[in-house]
Amino acid sequence: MIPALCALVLAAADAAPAASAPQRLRGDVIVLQAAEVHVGDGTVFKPGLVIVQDGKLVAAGQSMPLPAGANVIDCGSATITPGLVDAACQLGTSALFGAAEQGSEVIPQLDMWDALDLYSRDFEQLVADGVTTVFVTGEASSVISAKGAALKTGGPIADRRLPAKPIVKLTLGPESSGRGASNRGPSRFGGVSYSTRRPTTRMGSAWVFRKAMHDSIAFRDAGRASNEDLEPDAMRALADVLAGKTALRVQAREALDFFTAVKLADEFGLSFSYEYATEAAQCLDLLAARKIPVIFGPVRSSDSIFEGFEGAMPALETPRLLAAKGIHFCLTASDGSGEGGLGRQAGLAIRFGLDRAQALRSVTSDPAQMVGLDGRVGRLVPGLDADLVVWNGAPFDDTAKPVLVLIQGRPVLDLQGKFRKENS
Amino acid sequence: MVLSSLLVAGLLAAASSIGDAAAVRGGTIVNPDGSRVEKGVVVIQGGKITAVGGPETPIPADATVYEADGKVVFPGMILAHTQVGLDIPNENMPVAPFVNVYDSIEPNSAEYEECLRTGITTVHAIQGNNTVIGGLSRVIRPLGDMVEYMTVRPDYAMKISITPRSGFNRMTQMAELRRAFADLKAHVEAVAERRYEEEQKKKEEKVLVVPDEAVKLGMEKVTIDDLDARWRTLWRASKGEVPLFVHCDRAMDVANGIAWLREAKLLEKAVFVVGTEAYKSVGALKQAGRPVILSGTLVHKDVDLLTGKETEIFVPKVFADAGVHFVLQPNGFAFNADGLLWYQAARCVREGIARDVAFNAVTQWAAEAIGMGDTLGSISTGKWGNVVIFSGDPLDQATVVEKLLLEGRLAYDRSTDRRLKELSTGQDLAAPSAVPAATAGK
Amino acid sequence: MLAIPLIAALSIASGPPASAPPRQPAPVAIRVDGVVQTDGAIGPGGWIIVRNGRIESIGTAAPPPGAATFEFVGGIACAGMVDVATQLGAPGQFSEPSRAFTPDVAAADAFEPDHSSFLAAARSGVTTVALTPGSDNIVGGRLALIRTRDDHDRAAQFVGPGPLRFTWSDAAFPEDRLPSSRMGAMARLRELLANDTAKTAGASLVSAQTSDQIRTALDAFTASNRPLALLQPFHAEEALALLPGRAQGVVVGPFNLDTAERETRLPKQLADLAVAVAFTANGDGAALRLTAAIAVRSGLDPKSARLGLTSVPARLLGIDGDAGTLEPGKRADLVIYGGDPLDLAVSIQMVLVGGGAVAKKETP
Repeated sequence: MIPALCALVLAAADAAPAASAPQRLRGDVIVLQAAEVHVGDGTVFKPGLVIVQDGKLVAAGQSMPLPAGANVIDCGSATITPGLVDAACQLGTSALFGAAEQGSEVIPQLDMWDALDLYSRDFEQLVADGVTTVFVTGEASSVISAKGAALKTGGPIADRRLPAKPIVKLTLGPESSGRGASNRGPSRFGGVSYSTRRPTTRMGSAWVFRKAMHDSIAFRDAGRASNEDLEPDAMRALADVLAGKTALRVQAREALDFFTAVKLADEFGLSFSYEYATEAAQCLDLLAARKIPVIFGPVRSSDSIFEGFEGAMPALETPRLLAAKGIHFCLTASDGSGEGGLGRQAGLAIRFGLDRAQALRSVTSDPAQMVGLDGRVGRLVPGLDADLVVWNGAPFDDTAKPVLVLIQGRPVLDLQGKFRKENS
Repeated sequence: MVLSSLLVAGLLAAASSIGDAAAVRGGTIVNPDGSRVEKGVVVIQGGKITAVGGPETPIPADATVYEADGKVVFPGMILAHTQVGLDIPNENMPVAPFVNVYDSIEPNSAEYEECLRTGITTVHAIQGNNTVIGGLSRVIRPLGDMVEYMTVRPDYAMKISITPRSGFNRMTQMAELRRAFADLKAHVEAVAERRYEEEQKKKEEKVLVVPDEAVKLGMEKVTIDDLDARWRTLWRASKGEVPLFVHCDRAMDVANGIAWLREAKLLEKAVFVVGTEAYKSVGALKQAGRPVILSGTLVHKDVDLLTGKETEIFVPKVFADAGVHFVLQPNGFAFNADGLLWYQAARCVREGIARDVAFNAVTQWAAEAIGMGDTLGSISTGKWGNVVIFSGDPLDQATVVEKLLLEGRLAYDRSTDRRLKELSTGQDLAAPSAVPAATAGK
Repeated sequence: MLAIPLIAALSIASGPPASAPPRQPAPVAIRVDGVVQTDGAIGPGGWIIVRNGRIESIGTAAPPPGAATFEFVGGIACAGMVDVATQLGAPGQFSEPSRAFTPDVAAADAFEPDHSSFLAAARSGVTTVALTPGSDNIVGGRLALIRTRDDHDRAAQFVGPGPLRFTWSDAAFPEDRLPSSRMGAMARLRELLANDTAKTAGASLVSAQTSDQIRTALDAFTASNRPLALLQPFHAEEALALLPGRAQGVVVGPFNLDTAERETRLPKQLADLAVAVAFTANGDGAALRLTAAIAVRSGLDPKSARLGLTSVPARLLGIDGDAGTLEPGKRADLVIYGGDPLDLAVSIQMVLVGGGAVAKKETP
């Protein structure tokens, strides 16, 4: 492996501008040295360094000749990890008119990208948490959501969007059938609300899904709309789900909703990944037998022994149990940030028994893989985006936090002024 | 599950070991003053620590020995200002010095169980901040089925809020506060005058002095029994016999609070319970020299009115840098993140505060804030035997509380914590099977 | 019928009416000491000759025989002001909250030619206004282009339909109407932009406030090759960098002495990015000039400020072929000021709409 790295390094050196060139991030070679470099696939270099050029990672390793003219940033005793990836983020949507479309239960033709506020402060907070890539998942107040959208949390607006695989979400349980967080309440002005439009029961949610799928099949086979009011675009989008071109995700908290999801998927020959998964610990055997990927979380500080949503509480050792069963999983902070953010979710998983290396994978390479971005982000390997986090301690420890975050080689958080100093 | 298995275990353990000696052996004793004893021994007799030392320290033959090889032995942590375990604790009357938190404490609360699980051995239960003058508080152990058994210090302190309660403005708040003490003064003076007159009558002498003189002469004869319950606590407070937990949400409240306390000659009895913005008055608080209990939020967000830019201040760092003894509280109360007291200490370290300072803020300084600095807060000879055995460094991510001794008695043991097992794995251990047979193994 | 080319409509309106004799057979000659040029600068003065409602020459010819002559010592001539977003003549008539998308609504249907506010506008130096549907809908309807006086100086005159007005801010998302999400709205907006084939000159007027509203509006319009002008995009400094090359212009105002510096410096910021700025003040010429003057006080260069009162709004409305600047051949919509129009101590000496004087002071 080392010779290959050296070759890459030399190539980088050749491409690097002269040492006297003015400091410029694009085109320049940046080298970060730290006490530990965690690649994200289990490999750890102690000490380690990473080489970045043109927004891409050129090399990571223990020691190697530095390219001439490189901008070397010494991070001392810090640890470098890949930028964190959240595969089921629910932040960043436009606050006032955002992601909850009250117009229909079935909106797979819509795109969450259109609901995002790229200038939202949420993204600054995500960067501060070390999260560099998010897949903003479909909003849960429709039974079949809009397609999720993947994006970087920082950097130039034009470079933010990422080509994730198309994923729509089926939401079972109270969010889509009752008064979820975003379902509109009855207004004195009239209009639709959760009390006039939503399916009001779990059966109702399952029926909406089933009927939409049957409508889509009829539309596909007969080439015309059935007599219901589902838009042709929606039925076309569902046909992509049936054909496997669009992936299906299911959000459910309670185990019973998960069992419903399995039944529904079997009816239409679909496979799915399982989001939220509050009670995953009660479905371990089935998850393992069916090889269903799990996007677990978040565990909130309000999900305590004292209260839980609908009585469903996440079992604290769920990540460890999923790992022990060999179930493919990742962690999500959903709409949590700061003390409830993704790094803290990983920290909590470690406290309750998850191996540290797997905890790192569960917030970097595993979620990247689940949204089809493993060729772009999630590991510190050559050719991937130079998205990385420098931690002032062991990653995910309560006593550590990101002090430097790069997205595509650009500093988007720099608490210690490493780049300022370099550039002065 | 009214009474958890844990609690039963705790009580049984307590019952079987009362008066017995205990020793914790082999662990690293970590104290908030920064001292460490490797392979240390802590001996507890009669509920108090009688010896702390290295491996050579003699252990009494009758002591129950808890082995702590490779583990960390740490003083029990303290919630110095909390509503944990209280049932409906918020009194709606603005001036209610006559209420008593005793009546709100719910011994069976799962929150006390959670205290033990997270290394908390002492709880100062006090009314919330939405008041002008609140009732009496109580320092308790988070273990027991009767408040009497739990009690460490009854009727300990009183809550006073300088920050307006809901519906009040700042002027009304201060007016109500001053009026309560003025009413007290008028009432006590009337009692004093009456007492003087009664004395004179008893001696069959005439009342020969003017009323003011009568008040003065009668005042020393007034005892607490002359006052009804409505006035007693306030009277004791006015004489400086009751510690005052003074809530000052904003910096301007700190200034008002200090001014009022000086005026009432009660500054020496005050403990400041402050909001995040009070970091701006760190100088005044330092000068006041009284303990400061910080809000669990820890971070203050300020928006610049001109630029709209938001800045964040990590409040404990300001107090640490100023050398003020501050006390941490959890943000809410829960088993993870900032709902945990030790997580708050970890956050302090994350933001660059020395470990010793962070440890002090959950142990020794918290003990001082409830007037028990000589009794609690560190593992020292003569102090109470409240000891936590951590599986490792208290601030390490994977560390858990393995055992907890409350005055020398085993009050928590992770290996027998069935409820934790349920919380961790999601399995109801009382039920034969948690997975519906119909779908399992499909 | 609304698809009549605008310029044709204007020329028909300004040509000699078949039934009535020309109101103004004699040419008009006005002598001024300065003229606001097409680049906004004040150039040398001379005689401006107006014939048949059009500018015949500026500074190059002597008054023809028989011309009515006016001379203004120190006077400066400028094109009549244009306001792209007004509700003149029918206040309160432009709010139609029943549906989110009402592209068929035409502001022209609420136009009341005899309303006195048009005469007031004309006297204050405003010669063309657009009536603009309200902000209650994502697509609010089509603007109506109005000359504040007709050739007979009797009433205001409808000259043609303008571009569409969009509202891409919170105001268009009331809680009792669908779509309720921005992605739902975006889907329908794209559909509408793709299917709306009515070809009108000018740029769609889009109200957007926050940075992200601006970003998404630009995305939608750019994708369908539609020109747009942003209306009142305050609180959006982060998105200003997106505007050059994508927005035809930005409409701001009115400013007054209480307006926050954050807003009044926006014209300067836009000018630095080479984005054109137009001012709006509901057709009140004095308020328009105040707005421009405050923008200058906050850093805008005076040339851009003068253009923001005249040629930029004319271009946004698609009538710059005939209005907005003083050039031979264009309609004689012009205002004679006692000095620089940006000097608020200067008063209006004379206003001509289509060559007819609607306001004039005694010649000195």
